[in-house]
Amino acid sequence: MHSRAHSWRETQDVLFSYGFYILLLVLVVLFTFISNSFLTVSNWTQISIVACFLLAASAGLTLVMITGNIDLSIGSAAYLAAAVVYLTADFPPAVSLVAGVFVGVLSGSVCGILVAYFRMNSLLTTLGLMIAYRGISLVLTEGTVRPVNAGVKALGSIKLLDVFPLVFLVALAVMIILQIVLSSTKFGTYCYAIGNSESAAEKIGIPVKPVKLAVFCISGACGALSGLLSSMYLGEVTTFTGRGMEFQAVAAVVIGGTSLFGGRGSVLPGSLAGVMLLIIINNGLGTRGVSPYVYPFAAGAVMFIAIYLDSLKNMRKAWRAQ
Amino acid sequence: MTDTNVDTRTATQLRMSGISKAFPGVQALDDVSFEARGGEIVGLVGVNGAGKSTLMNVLGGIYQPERGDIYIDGRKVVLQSPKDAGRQGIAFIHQELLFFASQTVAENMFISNLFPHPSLPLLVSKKAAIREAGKYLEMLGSTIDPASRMEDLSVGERQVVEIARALAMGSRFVILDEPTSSLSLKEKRILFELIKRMKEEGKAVIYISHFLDEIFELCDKYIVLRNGRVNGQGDVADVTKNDIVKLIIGKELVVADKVYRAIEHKPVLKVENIRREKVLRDVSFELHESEILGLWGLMGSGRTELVRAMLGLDRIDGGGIFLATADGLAEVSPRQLLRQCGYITENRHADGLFLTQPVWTNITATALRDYASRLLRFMDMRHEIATAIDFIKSMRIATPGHATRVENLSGGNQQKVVFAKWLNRKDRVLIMDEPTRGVDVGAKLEIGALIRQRAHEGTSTLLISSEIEEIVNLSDRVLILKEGRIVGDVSGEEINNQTLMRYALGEETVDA
Amino acid sequence: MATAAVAVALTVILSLSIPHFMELRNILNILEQLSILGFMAIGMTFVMAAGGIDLSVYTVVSAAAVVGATVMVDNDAPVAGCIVMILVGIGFGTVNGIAIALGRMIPFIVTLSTMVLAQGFAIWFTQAQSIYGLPEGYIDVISGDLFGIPVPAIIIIVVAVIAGVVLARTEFGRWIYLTGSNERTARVSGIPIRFTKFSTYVFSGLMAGITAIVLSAMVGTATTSMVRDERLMDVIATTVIGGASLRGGSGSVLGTMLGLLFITVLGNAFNLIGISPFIAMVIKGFVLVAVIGLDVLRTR
Repeated sequence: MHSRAHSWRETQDVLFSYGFYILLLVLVVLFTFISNSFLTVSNWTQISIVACFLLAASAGLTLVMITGNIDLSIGSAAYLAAAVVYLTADFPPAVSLVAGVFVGVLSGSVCGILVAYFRMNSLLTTLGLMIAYRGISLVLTEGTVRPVNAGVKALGSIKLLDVFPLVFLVALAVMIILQIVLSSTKFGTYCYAIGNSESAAEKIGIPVKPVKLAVFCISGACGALSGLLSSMYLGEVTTFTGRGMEFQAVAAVVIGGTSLFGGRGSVLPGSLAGVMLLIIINNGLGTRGVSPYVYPFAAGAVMFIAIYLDSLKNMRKAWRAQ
Repeated sequence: MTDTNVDTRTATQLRMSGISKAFPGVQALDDVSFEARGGEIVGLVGVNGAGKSTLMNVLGGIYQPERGDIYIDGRKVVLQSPKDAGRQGIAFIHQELLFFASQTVAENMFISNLFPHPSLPLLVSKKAAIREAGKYLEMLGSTIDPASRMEDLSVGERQVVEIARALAMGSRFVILDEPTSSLSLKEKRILFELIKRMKEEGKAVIYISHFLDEIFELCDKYIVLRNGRVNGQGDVADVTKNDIVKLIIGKELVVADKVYRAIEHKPVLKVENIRREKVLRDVSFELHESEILGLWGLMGSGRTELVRAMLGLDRIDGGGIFLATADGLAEVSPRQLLRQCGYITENRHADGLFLTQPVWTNITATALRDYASRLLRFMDMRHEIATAIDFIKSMRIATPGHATRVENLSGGNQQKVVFAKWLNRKDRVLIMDEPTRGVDVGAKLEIGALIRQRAHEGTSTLLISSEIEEIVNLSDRVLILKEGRIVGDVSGEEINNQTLMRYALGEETVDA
Repeated sequence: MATAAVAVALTVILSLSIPHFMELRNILNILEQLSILGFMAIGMTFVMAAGGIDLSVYTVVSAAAVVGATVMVDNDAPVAGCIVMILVGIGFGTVNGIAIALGRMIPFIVTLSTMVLAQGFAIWFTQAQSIYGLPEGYIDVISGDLFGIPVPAIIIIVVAVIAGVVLARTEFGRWIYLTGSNERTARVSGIPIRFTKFSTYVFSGLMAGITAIVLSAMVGTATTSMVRDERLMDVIATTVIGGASLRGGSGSVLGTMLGLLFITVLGNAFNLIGISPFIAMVIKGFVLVAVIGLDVLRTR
């Protein structure tokens, strides 16, 4: 009897850890069968472009969430960066892009200082800053659509080997770099430790505050990158840039296995899978002709389930530790 | 004494000299001097609050003493943080283990000094960490897989990892704070082996425990703290358990100077065969009307666990609970017991008070129903405040006013508010756990008098306390617990600290 | 309460220094605007006093509005529509309540996902179309005047009084404060914490439903984002200014109303001075972060 209970618990473990990867695989297979246009190069090129904005932002957010915090200002950071690109239209594209990333780091550092050094609640602080940053962006763009430097726009349509969009490759590169940071550097180990037990980390002598500040700067930079990629691809900055992206990113990161409680998760394969799941649901439904309005609801429902399961996982671990 | 001993004596040495540390309202340490040498295990003993943890927290760099110095190898050191202590080779293994659950054993062990990757800059090598971790674990004779996650290990295994971490950091002084409280017998054996190995390696081990059996099995030396002062130290070989006990609780025979009341044998609360796996074993007793029944035992005897199991706040695996009604004893569930008894908890800050609320709200919190109008449940706040003012006067609660937030009162007055809260409900049965913990002497006496007065008026009291004087002074009858079983039931003149201690140590057997 | 006093003082200063401020038209304007935030803030006060938080209120308003409006328009039944709005609000509140009180999940996580869920639901339900053509009678009654006072203002005052009395003077209100102050002590003291927490979320949902009714009448349509994101911070800020804390155990309807007054007056003043709405957004965002920061300092 004991071994049966044990193996059921092990099955549950597997389900919890890998459930969404399995779901992702199932969905891909499903859509391939029910729609001709799903498994085509053009569709997947489209998917990779749509995904790259969310991928870039989710990468940075993953690090923040692993430390046990959250950053809801990334969408507005994206808008800010895009606005900066518009403002620097007279400068060479490289300058625009660097300036955009810099603004992202700056906006992230404000979050980081408030959360790490003033011990403010990351959810509400970044929520407030999200609004403030959006306001600044609206001021900078005067609330309308703004075009972007032609050089920048040109970058957005580059396709390596005529197939792989540059924007996607950039996002992927960022994900790879951040995953390496997470899994193989001192900094990454510190992030997990802080997420597991901030007090223990402090007692052991880990530089908790600087690490927390750094993850918010990274998250700001990634949000900014997302905005840059978006402006590159669209060739313009709109009031919808980055709007609502933060919640999608949170959903994707949680679905991908990062716990809201911190201490576990990954950029690759975790957040990548999470983003792809959301995008594929939308895309697959689209190729099938389903109303596009199912998507936000489906995304919300999936997020709800993911969060519920995450809570369950956490309760089981706590119960097991007794 | 052979020559090798002389060598060890001049080896690693730690000396704490004249350490004094005060907290608001209490002198936790008063001129304490203490030594530890490499290759020796020192047992640090004393009751709760005697100063053991404070002393070790000073050594661990968590507290700074007002007076006194610390010397390592004859050199004075200043320990302003746990990191400083770590650098000086001091490892403090707390009762509540510090670890990172989702990370591996190897990562936990080397988190303060991760191994750089052999070829790629900026990166760390997990493989190297696992290899090194494996080496230390092997040294300790452990079979724990260094690549496994901390959260998958048992408590005992996690402890082994912490010890391995101490070794890996090159610690020369290892402090273990009550390490055996959550270990199984087998894990205890393993721990003791590790400690002996550390001794062989020339480390100095400081072993804090209230389990005298362990002290006598492991330690070479002992030091007893009482009320923040050193009350005896020396070689374990030269003393008996009894001697140590006398040092822990004081030499004088403490007998209550009170009149022994004749208690009618009228059971008001009865429990039968309360069981909880590993913690409580078939506990049965009766509480009589108007009686103050003391429940005592050394730490780990299961006192608080018994009460919490009875009240349904912790797991209970079996047993019956009966309360007296008009028609005799009727069985009740733990939750019903909680609802019908007053329960003064062990830790008022955790679950005894509403710290941010005013005094009067705290006092009426358990009896809100009595102040609510029948239909719309409007609260009669004037009546509530009047009740509070009554209690403030009669219990002499020192507060600027009834509307003062409870968090602004001193410990003793906070505890009085807790009492007021429960006395307001006028329950027949009061269960109190550590009723005067963290309370100054004056308030202790007042609360004691209050308990006695209520008993005279008919309240039946179950009194759990770790302070032996309190039990002796207040109880009409005392039950002694040892390892989750009742081993003694004494009344009258047998209620004195020496008799209680003898039962608690198992030197008296009784057909209870 | 100190912050509330500051709010009142600022209001007085602003009213004296800005032209047109004290004109009746402007005051009535303020009262009307007040009501929308007001309902949500009163709901939030209850939730925060019990130690929780509800991030979903502002999207539940949209969800409730679109469902109710659809019923209203398809059947020309304003009353039925209103009832539906309330029911939808209560429905989402119940989901929150069950997850948090019974499932013991973390409030901000649960309500964050409910927020996304409610918005998604609204979009899906309406296929992203706004719903026009709400019954004239309905609009006239709810957003009109009664004896010269805007009906929304009357409703908010009535709701505020009732809610305020319940929170401050009834046994249930006391349960809320005690549960928020220390849940473990409350449990030992015999207070029904699960019921208490559950009820606050249902109440917050109810308030979202009422907001849907008033707001849809005021703007004449039901859309999928009737309450802008920034309003969430406004709601939280008003309750915190009014004395509530993220820790729980404090806050009052009266304080919240004063905080509400402050926020609305601030916005109104910005308008009158002619500050661009974008800059106003920026200022508000930072002010609200500051408010949260002060709350943290206050409880340290």
